[in-house]
This record gives sequence, structure tokens and C-alpha cells, in this order.
Amino acid sequence: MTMTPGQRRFALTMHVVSSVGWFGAVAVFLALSIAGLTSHDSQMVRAEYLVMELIAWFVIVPLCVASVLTGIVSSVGTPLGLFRHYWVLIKLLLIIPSTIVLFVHMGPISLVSHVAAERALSTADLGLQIQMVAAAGAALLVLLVVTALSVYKPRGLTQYGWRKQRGSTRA
Amino acid sequence: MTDPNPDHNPDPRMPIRRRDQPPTRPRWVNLFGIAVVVLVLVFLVLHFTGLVPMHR
Repeated sequence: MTMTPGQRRFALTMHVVSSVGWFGAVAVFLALSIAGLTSHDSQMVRAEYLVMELIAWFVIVPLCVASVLTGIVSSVGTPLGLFRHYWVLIKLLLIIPSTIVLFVHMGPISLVSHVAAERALSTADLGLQIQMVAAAGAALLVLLVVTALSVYKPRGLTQYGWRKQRGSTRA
Repeated sequence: MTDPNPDHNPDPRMPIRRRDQPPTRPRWVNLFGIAVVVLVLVFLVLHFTGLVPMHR
């Protein structure tokens, strides 16, 4: 399945927009989670965790899904393929588990938000607060690596990519 | 001018590889794999020592 140049550009634009948006939203989430962990103003802390749940459900999750889908469409619809180049394959191997972890992590995010909606957070909730910072930091690191791979596109064909390339050269 | 020998290695720093030989895994992929394993181990240590708790 090969896309026309116009379709490729459209898919790539959507992929870049959703990926950059995802990165930015996670950066905001990290800033809020650090502020929630370090702030002494209990009202501010409660407000931050409520906002974090909204950002997670209505910005991070949709942008994550959009980025994954547009990324798959962009690679499958072009000669790059999903499994032909190591940099594309590694992006996939990083993003699919990260997406699963994000969905698993939505539980604790909703939990801390519900706690913040009912009462001020106490030292008993410190574990959840640290988890928010650690998860957002790890997510930002993965997204930074994935962005770097997309920009640098380090060389290297997989065995499958080499066989495909050889087949198309011979045909 | 095109090279008459298709197996000629234009970059002496790269190992010579014939066209009918499958490619070897690049060094950056191996280093990347090692870095990922190290990071996962660091996370597991932090998690099991209680420094990074994980609620579900």
C-alpha cells in the first residue's frame, strides 16, 4: 500500500503535530506533578491534581493515540515500512509499551485526582505524588529519544528490510 | 564517474560487505539496547527499594 505524495505529507503533518503536542502535554503534566509534590499551598495542590487528570484524559491520551496511528500509517504507506529500518522499529518498540503504560497509569492519575477533589493531600499520598513525577519524567525521556530517532534517522537496515530492498532491486 | 566495482568500499572506516551478504546489526542499536536494559534495571531497583512506588 503506497500513498500519494499529498497523502504522505498530510499523514506526516498529522504525525508531527500529534507527537509534538503529546510531548508538550507531558512536559506540562511533569511541571504540574513537580509543583504538586513541592507546593505547600494545599488549595493549589488540589487544583493541580484535578487539572492533571483533565490534561491526561483529554490531551495526552488522544494525542498519544493519534501519534501512534498516524505514525503507523506514515510508515506503512511509504517505502520506509514498519520493520525495515532499525530506527523505525525501535520507535515502534518504545512507543507501543509506553502507550500501554500510559493507559495503565490512568488509574493512579484518576485516583489522585479523586483524592484531591475530596480532601487535602497528606503524607499518606506521597507515594502517588512521587509516582506522578517519576512516570511523567520517564515518559518525557522516551518521547525525547523517539523524537531524536525521528530527526537523526540513524542508518541500519533490518534483515527483513534488506531482503525487501534486495527483492525490489531485482524485480 | 560511477564505480565499476559494485563491491568497492568507498568509506574505509566501514567494514567491507558484499551486496549479497545480509547486513550486520549497527553498533548504535546494540548500545541502545544496553542503555534500555540499564534504565529498566535502575527503575526496578528504585521500585523495589520503595523510592518510586507504583500504585495500580
